[in-house]
Amino acid sequence: MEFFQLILYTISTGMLYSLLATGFGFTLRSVKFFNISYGGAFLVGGYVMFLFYRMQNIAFLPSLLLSLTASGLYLLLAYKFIFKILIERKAKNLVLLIVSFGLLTATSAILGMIFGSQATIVTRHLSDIDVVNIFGATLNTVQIVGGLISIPIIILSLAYVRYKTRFGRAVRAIEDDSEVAELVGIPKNKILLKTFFLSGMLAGMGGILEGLDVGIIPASGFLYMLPTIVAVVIGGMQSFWGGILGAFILAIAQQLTIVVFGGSWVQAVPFVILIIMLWIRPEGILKR
Amino acid sequence: MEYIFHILILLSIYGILALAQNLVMGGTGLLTIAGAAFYGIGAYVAAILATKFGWSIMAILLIAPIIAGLIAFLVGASFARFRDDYFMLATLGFLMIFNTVAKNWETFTNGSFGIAGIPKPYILGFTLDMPMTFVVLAIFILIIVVTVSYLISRSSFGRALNAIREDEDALQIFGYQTSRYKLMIFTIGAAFSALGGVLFASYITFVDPNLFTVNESILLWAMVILGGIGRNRGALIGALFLVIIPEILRFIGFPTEFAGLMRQCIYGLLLVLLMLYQPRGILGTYKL
Repeated sequence: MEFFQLILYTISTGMLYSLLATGFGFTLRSVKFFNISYGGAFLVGGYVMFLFYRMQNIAFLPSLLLSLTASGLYLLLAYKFIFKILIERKAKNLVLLIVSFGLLTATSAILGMIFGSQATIVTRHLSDIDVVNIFGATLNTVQIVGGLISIPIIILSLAYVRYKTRFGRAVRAIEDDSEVAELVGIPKNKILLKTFFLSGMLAGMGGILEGLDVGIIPASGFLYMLPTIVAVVIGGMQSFWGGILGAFILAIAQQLTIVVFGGSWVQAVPFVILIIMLWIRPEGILKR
Repeated sequence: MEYIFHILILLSIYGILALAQNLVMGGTGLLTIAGAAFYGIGAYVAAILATKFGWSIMAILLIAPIIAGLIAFLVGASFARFRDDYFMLATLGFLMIFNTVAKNWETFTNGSFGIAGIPKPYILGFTLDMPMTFVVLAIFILIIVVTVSYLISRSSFGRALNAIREDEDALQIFGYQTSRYKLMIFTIGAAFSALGGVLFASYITFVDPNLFTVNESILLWAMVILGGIGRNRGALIGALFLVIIPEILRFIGFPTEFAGLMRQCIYGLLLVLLMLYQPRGILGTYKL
């Protein structure tokens, strides 16, 4: 395959992983456990988009807003009715981890019962997606508009919110030390609810893009959690930009594996990198 | 009648797997998601040795636990420095790597097609090709595993493991080499899981990579937690419930795939609800 094409694929994969890692990082830093149910929000986004956009024939933008809201609500409710209660009981991280695995498992089973386990394509007609030629290499419009254009905008606006607004300051204070943040009068609970909502929306956006591009399956909620977690861990989970760095390292490593060994070995790559990273630098590449 | 023996065989196999999971996760508090990997290693060792090298299943029942134990020893030793969440992530990595190898090392594993035609056990001139006869072997192996599990939990070794679960740091101060204990139980658990895998492969006569996924490991978590963490009898009760449920669903008239998804949904939700409302499970004395 041509070199330029490979670079384009790597960038578009890296963008998707960056989006997912950024959303995942938000909750990871504030509640300090690996919230696997993030993959559930990914699924909710994709399938709700399918429901409104393709089945109900609602216009694109309203469908998009509805699905993002649904995936945000999914994580918000998961926090409000499950995680918050456990955290207040001072449950160990292992408990939260088990619960979030359970939630993702149940969510993907329920969606499987409703939509079947074969790929659900969110796009209405295949002809809706144009293939665009860029200097001899090709990408489709979903990859370009969704991946290359909207994801950087989303990430930059999140960085703005995080570093320039009151809400962002409160989020960072809770990440530093949630008890102190509460003592100085930051409405911790409200901020955490918003953080989970935001995080769910980002996961949902990932699911929507996946559904539009190649179709979504119930197992993809878990399958996309893997690169997400690995990107955050290798990049440095304490840093906003770490997840994005990790995402691109992972995308490059996967693309190289495809070129050298073939596509089927690609699933093992994140974990080989993860285990090596846990050995040599468990805190990740970037510190805060 | 045939059907009852079929259920008894499944119960024995999952009983073995749940006991193994309980020794590691319940008795020692090491959250591992690699249960399905060692189960799969047992099954694949049986499939490969029996179909490609003509070994008898009885010989494999002796050798497979040793192979799985050796792998677990190496993996466990290299994961020794990871704690809690990170140990779980590393075992998740191992499971994904196992899955990728099973899918791609086609000379031995036949890739995604799996290996068919695994023979039934043959002892003393009898071939155990009926559920009625196979069940004898399955229950025999289960009894061995039950006995060893009880011996372990009543020994000083078992008490040290429980102490690691309660407070590893304190135990280290008293001079215990906790990492050795953890490595030992991880190895024993893997060897037991491999026994379950050999029985499964020989009973179903077929293996493929999709039988040994994360969902299978989460099912084992649910069995242990439902029955009661750290109780051998609890693991058996958990296995009983979660093996019977899909059979009941199928009996009511749900198609097999749908019954499978409903079970997945049930054990996913069980994990969430148990952790929220009954973290000790049915019998348990201990909660995570």
